[in-house]
Amino acid sequence: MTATEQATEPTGYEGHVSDAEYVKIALILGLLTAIEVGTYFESVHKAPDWLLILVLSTLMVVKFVMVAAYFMHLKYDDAIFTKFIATGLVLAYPVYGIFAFAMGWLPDWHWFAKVSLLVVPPVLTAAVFLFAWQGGNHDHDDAAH
Amino acid sequence: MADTAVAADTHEEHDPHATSLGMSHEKLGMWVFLGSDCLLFGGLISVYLLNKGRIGPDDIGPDEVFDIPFTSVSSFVLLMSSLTVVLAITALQRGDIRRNRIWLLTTALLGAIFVGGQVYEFTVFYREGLGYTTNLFGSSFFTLTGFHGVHVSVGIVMLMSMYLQSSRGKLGPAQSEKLEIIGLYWHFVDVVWIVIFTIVYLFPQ
Repeated sequence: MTATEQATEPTGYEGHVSDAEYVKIALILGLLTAIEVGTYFESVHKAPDWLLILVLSTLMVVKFVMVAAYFMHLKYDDAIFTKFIATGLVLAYPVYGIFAFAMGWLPDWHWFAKVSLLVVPPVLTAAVFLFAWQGGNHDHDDAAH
Repeated sequence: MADTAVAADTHEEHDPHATSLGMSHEKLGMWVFLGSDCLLFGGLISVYLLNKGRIGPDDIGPDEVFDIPFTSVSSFVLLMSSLTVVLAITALQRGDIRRNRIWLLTTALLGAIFVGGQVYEFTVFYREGLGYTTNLFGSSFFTLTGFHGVHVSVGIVMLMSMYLQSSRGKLGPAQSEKLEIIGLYWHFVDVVWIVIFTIVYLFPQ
């Protein structure tokens, strides 16, 4: 397949995931949102701040990854798109995090919680995006050779 | 004969639409744009986090104005619009133009409901005394969520332009990549809201 053919050929959302599976993914996202909103209720809201933030951050990252992987098709598309977005996210997060840290945000937290908040999300993002998924389409490698 | 083959190869090498990466320039361009937009929203979220607590003892803060149940419904609406835009893309790739148009309109409608909810929320906040220049929390909150609302509005315009092209018979399976690229933008707007909703509205104040 030539580069031109590769470039003009429809990339095809169809075929990897069926419409029914997209609906299932949307329902899971809706359920995760409901769990997030559940933390707003008084009985749950009394939990320590660090625990609430940890749970909410985890749910946020899971939702983000699910939308990027399935709806934005990163899981099945060329790996270079994944690398673009993952590199940006992994580099930007600690920069903004350290900036917020230096300006006095998170003043009363345990040091371990602060360091975890800075380090864990980008490491998880990098691990999931860059290592678990190699990207589905490497035809351009064949075309290049 | 051999000369003809060589000429064809040479022509292929100089094809202005050929890409050295073997993928669409437009799609790669959208991903690069989304990467840069990540940095924009990252900056706005950081500024919000820094400013949300910088309010006087009698000032209006997040606890006084946020209506979490209302915003949760808006968030759910935007989340579901990501599903409908995917269904619009798969319908177009199957050549099912009628369903493609239905899902395009549904997505635009869900986006409009979200933006309408945001306008309503801003109006309520303003009536309760939180204006753009009331305090640092107000300024950073309206800037962040306002920028996101503008992104959604631009997305609605793009979706409606796709609908118009479809109505004129100019959008078929061969042009599905156009809609896929607009879909990427729409999903990005959704993932940004996932982050904003969690950090701005749900994190303990």
